[in-house]
Amino acid sequence: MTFLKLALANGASYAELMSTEACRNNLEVNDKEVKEISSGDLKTFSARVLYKGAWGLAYSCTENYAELVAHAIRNAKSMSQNIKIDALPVFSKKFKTAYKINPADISLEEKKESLLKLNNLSKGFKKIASLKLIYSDGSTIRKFENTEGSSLEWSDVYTAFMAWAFAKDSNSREDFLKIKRIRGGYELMKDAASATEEVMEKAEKLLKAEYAKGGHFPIIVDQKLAGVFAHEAVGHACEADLVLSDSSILHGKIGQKIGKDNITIIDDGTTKNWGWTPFDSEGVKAQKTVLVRKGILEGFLHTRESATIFKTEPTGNGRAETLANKVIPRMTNTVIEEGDSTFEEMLAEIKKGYYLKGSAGGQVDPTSGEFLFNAQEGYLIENGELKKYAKGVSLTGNILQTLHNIFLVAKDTDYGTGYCGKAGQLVPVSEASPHIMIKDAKVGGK
Amino acid sequence: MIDTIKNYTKSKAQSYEIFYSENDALNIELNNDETNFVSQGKTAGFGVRVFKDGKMGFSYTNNLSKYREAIDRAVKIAKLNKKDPDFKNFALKKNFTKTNNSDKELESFDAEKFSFFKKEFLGQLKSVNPKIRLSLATYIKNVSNSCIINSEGVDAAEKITANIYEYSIGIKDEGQIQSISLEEGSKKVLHPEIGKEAGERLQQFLNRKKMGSGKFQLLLHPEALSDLLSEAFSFSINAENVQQKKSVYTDSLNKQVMNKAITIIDDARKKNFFSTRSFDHEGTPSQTNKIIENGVLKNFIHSVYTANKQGAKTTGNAYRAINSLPMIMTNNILMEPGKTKDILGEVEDGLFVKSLLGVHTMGRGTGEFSLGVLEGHKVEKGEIKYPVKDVMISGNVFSLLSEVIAISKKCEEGYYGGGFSLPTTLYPKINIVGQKS
Repeated sequence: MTFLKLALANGASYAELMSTEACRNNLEVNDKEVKEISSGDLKTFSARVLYKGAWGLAYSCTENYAELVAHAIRNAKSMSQNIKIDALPVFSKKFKTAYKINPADISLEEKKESLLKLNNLSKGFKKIASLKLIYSDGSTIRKFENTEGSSLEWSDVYTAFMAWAFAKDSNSREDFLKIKRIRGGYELMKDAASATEEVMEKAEKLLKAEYAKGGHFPIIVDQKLAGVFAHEAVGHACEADLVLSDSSILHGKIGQKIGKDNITIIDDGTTKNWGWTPFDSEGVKAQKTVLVRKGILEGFLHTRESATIFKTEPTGNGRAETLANKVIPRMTNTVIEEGDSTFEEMLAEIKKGYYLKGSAGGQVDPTSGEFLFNAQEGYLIENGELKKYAKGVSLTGNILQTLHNIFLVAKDTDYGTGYCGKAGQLVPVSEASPHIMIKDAKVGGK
Repeated sequence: MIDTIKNYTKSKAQSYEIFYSENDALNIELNNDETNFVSQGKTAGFGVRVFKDGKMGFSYTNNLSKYREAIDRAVKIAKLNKKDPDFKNFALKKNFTKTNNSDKELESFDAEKFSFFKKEFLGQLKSVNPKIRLSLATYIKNVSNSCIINSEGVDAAEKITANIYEYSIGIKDEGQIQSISLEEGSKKVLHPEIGKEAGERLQQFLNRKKMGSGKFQLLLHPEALSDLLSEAFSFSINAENVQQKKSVYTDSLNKQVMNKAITIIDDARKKNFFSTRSFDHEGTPSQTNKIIENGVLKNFIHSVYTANKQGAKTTGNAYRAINSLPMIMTNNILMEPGKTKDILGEVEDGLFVKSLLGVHTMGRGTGEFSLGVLEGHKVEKGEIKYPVKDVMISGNVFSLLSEVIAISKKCEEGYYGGGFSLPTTLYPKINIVGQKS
């Protein structure tokens, strides 16, 4: 508290101190060779102040809060701004990520042996040219306190596993990647063998796949890709900083119908999925925020600063990748709520179209609302049946048009995890969605 | 500090390497023409590799008071690693001439000086059209002091300055915001005149129209070409991907892999280019390497490890942070200019693509892409007709590079993750999905 008082005594209207202390282990096995075993620790300390309406921040890898506060104030002094934040009630609590098996209890030796064993699974796959397996775990202690009297601590543990198979035959090469991540422990690895086999099967299967033909079709989008669609196409456009700078196509559309009745999209920071943040980078408690309810735009994602401008409550979405970065509105766990349809009903609706599965990445231009997603795999649908296995299937379109074209929503939620990039900062996020069917989508292929 | 770390490491392992790095960074964020966030910080830390009894160990820390623990951890990890017969040595000591990669003016560039830059930049931007706004921007400046010491006698240190400015500018046009996103990177202080160029580029982007679907010639702006190369080409010339058989170039050394009009150089010595440095992050002196010469694949890009593994010479392409092992990445990518003076004049019916949406989703191993066009112009009979919207293109990067029709005489120098100098290139007809026909 001494340094927070120091900040106030030096003219700051608000100040916060933060620290992260992280330990991390990484192992990589590539084609039976151990490529990496590493282990390290990183510490960061930071002070952020609101001084005469401007945010200043300073950080360091050494704990010298007196200097950090002085530098943060100096940085704030270089701008003339009029930023305000509404006061928040005191929020003090300690959080702990739950796990079944503490990764720290498993030796690096055992982790290495298990990766080597998994790598041996490639024996049964003749066309696999290369198999890369990466395991990572870590623990982070994040501390936060501010001049409002809040004091928070989160002792977090994560585990992640990636399997990436490269297949090759005489005329083509394909790869397939799967990453599993949890806020939790080594229990994640119980599914590692099936994930490893799956990527090798899929990579080999893709060798025989034909390229999709571009054009306008009805499509079914699987849970993983639909989740990424909700995140990229809707979630980003709901971030208050983009709305404020007139860079979002959803600017000024609160209360308006932007999609069909069957579509409800929520940001949920409370579920303990990969995007979970018990408190955000500004010490605001995690919550559920409805972005779209039955097709009507209902809310945006806020930092304390943007919430004050919008005269609303902050939503717990103020996130920064590291203590050096600016806090900006970011998603946590994005959810498309279930409807009442089934995958079979969707199939039956389609004479000719595509089934898009898995996400190979996507991007959106929130200003124009244009987006692009690539599926990991696909099927040509003919007369209500899954026919040819297809590769190179992508989906492009405009957010608003597409939301009006979501014809059916199923009741079979599944999850995906990832890192979301914005303004040069990566933060962990997850998506949950059922299958959705879109009429008249623009599909790219060869 | 470095000597203390070195001496302790030396007492624990005969063969070792220390990568020590100090960074002094300034980060400024802008929104709606205003600066609204300034952050500054200094960090220092090191990564240590030890090679003991044929096995490698690696650890890192930025908690310098606990340097012994990190080094002990590396030794412990080496014990449980597998023997690696492909590891011969850390980078060997070689003589080299230093290049100057820091700029005094940029070193002392602070938030106050940035506010002068911003004022002039906005003036230039609005001189094109007063309605243009700087919607969002991030400015990052970094001064890094890195140092590599190893048991082969390498003891190299260098200061490098860099700044990167990423920004989106927009204008309200018929009720809708039209915007473009740009980035600049340099070792020197940026010139505010980039504002005028950006404004003019946005001005040309107004009144976008849909175009029909079909097959059209593709004219790639150097920025769009650098986007595609940075994914598929960089991946395929990376010796690690070659050795793991993930690259299309796996069996292609000294073979014709693209059109003979193309020569591509990876250069870490080109004066004032973004990725220029005196030595790489293993301490190998920087080089100028021909990767593609008249369409023939002449070399891959290497770290010491991959070079030793296939009996090649290292090319100085190792990059790392304190907490990572050396990774192979391109330095400055330079494509030699072609012969075409007026490349636009060569286009009969095509699409001029300046910026793409979703480039990271392309198949890096295959070169296949199916991407949105963020910034593109319809070209007919050698003239730019109109900017396009809702357009998607698909094709294969490697096929394009084989089928290139024309290469411009003029190259553009720029920054995309690393430095580049590239021409504008014209390709035969590819698939374009536009308006529903």
